[in-house]
Amino acid sequence: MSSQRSDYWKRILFILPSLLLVALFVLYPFVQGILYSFTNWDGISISRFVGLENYINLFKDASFKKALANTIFFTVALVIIMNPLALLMASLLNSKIIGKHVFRTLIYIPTTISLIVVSNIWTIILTFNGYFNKLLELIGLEKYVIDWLGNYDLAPIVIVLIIVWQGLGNSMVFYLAALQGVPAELYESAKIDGATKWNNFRYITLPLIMTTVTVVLFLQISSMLKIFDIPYIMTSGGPGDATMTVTMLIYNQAFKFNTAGYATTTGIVLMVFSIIVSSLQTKITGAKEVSY
Amino acid sequence: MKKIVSLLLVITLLLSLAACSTQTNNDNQGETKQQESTAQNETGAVGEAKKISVAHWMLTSSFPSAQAYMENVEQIFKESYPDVEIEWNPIPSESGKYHDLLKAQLATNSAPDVFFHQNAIVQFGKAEYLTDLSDQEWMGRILESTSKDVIYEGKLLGIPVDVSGWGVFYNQEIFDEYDLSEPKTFDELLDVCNTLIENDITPFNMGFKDTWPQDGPWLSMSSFIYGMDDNFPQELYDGNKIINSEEFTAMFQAFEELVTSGAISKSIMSTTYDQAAQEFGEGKVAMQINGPWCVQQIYDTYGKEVGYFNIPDRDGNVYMTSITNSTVSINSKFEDKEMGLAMLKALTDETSLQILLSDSGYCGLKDVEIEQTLAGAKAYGEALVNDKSAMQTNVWIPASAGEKLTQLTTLICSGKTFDAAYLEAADEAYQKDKELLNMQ
Amino acid sequence: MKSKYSKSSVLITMILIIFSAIYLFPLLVLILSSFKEEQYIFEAFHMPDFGYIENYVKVFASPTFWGSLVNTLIICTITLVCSVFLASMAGYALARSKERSFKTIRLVYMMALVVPAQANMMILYKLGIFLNLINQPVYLILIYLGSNISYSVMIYSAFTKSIHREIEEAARIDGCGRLKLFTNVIFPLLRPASGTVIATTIFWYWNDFQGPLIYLSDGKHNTLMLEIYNFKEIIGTTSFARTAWGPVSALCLIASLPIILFFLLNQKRLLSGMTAGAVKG
Repeated sequence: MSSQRSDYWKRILFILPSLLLVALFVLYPFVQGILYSFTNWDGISISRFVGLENYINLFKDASFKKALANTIFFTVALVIIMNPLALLMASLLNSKIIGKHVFRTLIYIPTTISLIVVSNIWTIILTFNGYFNKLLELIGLEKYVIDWLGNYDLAPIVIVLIIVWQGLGNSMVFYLAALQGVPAELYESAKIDGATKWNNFRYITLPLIMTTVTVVLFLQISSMLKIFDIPYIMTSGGPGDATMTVTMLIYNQAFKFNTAGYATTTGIVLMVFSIIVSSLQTKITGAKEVSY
Repeated sequence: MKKIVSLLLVITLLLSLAACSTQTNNDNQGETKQQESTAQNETGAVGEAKKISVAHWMLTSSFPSAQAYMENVEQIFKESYPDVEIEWNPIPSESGKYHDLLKAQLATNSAPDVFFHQNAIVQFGKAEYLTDLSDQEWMGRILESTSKDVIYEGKLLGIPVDVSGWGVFYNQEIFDEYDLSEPKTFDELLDVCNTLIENDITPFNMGFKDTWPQDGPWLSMSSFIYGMDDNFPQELYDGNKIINSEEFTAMFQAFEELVTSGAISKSIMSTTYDQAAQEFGEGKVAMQINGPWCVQQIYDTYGKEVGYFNIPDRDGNVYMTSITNSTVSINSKFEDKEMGLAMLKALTDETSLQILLSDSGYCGLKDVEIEQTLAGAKAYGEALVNDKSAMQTNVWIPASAGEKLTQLTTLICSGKTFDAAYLEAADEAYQKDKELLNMQ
Repeated sequence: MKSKYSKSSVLITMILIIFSAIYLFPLLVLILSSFKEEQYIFEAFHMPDFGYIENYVKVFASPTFWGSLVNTLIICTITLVCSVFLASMAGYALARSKERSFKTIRLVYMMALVVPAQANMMILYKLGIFLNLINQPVYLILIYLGSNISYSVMIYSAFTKSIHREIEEAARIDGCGRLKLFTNVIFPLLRPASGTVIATTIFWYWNDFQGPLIYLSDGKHNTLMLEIYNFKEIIGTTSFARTAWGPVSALCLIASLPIILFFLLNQKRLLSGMTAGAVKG
């Protein structure tokens, strides 16, 4: 073999182990999953081909529609609440104050602990006779004392807020790094021109941090569409079906209802949906990116 | 080079097709393994000791009667097979994932020879994992309400060892103090609740935070369904009735009445099972929708005696429903059927069952009466055998439909009104998954 | 020049303090709960006796606790080590290859990033049964590697591109083979990338709950997170379980301390590595 060809195969060898891992544990199951989504596989016995029946049933399935609606609500609510908050905190931490490292660390710590720990902590705090309600009583707001996770309308919002609490640190440090990358001279020259704080933000800050916004939004949206741990542990999708997400539904379909083929169908539909949403998002925010 | 890409795609395709035929491969492998082990057993019969493996998720160190049970079974079994060694509990059960492991082992033909199982009769029956016991002594001794749990396509495939259901367990002291008696109609139950509320006692609290108690209400109020049509399960299966009907609506509206009248604790959604038990034991809560497993626990922890009654419908109809918690079967791949039967006899011998079920357990064999010490446990046992018996609801509707009923329950508990959309969704799920049921 | 600590500084500091309280308080709740007796867990503001270490005793006495600690450590370490080696090699090969096949392989990696774990759960579960690897930590390691290696490969690939080719060419001229070139020259230069990969992915492996929930489901091979979830007691003759919140709180604390410590010690590198890619685009 010529040295060029042998070099080629050496490079292939470099990449082969990880490629095999990906092929065997991600792609092969996915292809297999697509095949199973056309059957009535129950997880144990041999399955029967049912064509598009699963897909048709899925689009009629009230549980799926509700789970999808919930998931979309969670995602939109998270994006709307988390991003302004993270930007605000980042800009606060970007100013000259003592001990900002301490604050940054403290806010980041919940990101480092497991979602199951986060769920357990907040379960204890939000229980009917728990800390949060007792706090409300202390400051005279007894009339707002309710069972927070047991309320059909409020439980989803409470869940979103807990997820914001947990993930704020992550978005915040991204924005902090981005803000630090904006040259201070820009603000100073704008000030000379008489620009207001809002103008500063809209015309200087935002465009220049857009690359970061794209990445942060992408991470938030792609992980929120798959959110599982916190609602699974804290409310099991309840009360009623208020906090059921699509991935929780898939888990139930596969392991609780013994309809594994149907579960892969839901998984594939979710994936297609995520790809579409994320592609749209990166296109939209990507177009607004500006580099200095 | 395109060669490599196409090679990758071909490999992936081949893998998929290969895996699709995994089932047949496994069966083939299973048969060859079986032939090998039979050959071994035959030669082994000459001098080596045979073994039989028995698996149950309950025989762990945290279950007090486990040791005594296993010893009793061994004693009886050794009378016919003195040289056979019993391998107990090859499947670890600590986390409650016993069934996942069992299914995995059955799929790869490495499952125990005799095993206990729960809620799997349809799956196991379809996959032919269980030995047919129809011509054996147990056939005529099965409690009617357990038949759907152990009989598949007319064949008896397991013995219902442990049976229980849901109902209302009440604090005897409180009932005595306020001169309350077990309600014979639903309206009487509401009256009882009102009296309790007037005296600052919460009528009902259960541990809905721990999720599984959420099934309690719709499982224990099925008298509303059977009271209107005692053949409802079959009618539903045949398509003559649907879940979104007057029967289920009546049941959930009755439950809603309990909630709106204040009979159900306001903090039920965030109360854990233990907290609810504590409130019950301390006399702050008078009743629980629970199962007989709580009788011994309450007595041991709080020293209180509990009574039992079934929730009647408005006309006073009472149906006792139950489900088999554990069924024991012989692995169909276990060659020595005689030995398997002997083991089954030992496991279900009256003396063995007495030990296993002494802690408020009840047997699915009609003629076996487990002696109970506590009044509540006795009352439950009598009701089980004497009252009109029927199938527990989650036996004749698939899990996906049951999930919608549980969601409707928690919805009502959270303060919303009854919403028929959940019953409609349950119907959809029923139609989609009805072939998973053990009905014909 | 304004004084360094202007009015707005003070205001900002106050806001940050309030915010920090919202962040500190739940952690304090966890610590407090771990010292409470079971009946007081849900009673707010009941100060526990810090000498009550029953909960911790129960945790350490659990037959599966030490195993879960060991399992978590093993799984994390092996996954990280394998990740670093395999992904760095793959990223290097990707970055230095122009052939069409490599472009396709890059596409394969990107596709893997998009496939959701849930769609594959059941099938990977069955595959585990088929390979007889179900409920073995090694299976979880393989799944972690398969699912996450694309991410690491992308990081290494991007980073490799920033290493000047001249270094490699010089070594090549000296007669260095590809492998030696990689191990002696390139890999050490990839250290910052390795740092980023380890620092970001270790949280996924240490804190993961869904993976062990599904693939290590027999109760004998818990990870710390699964141990928390499984810390339940079976009721009577049923298969129903109830959670013991005291020991669970203690366990949560124990399970989180190592990773929090890791974070505190590596803050700077972690945060700068993480954000570098996002900011520069």
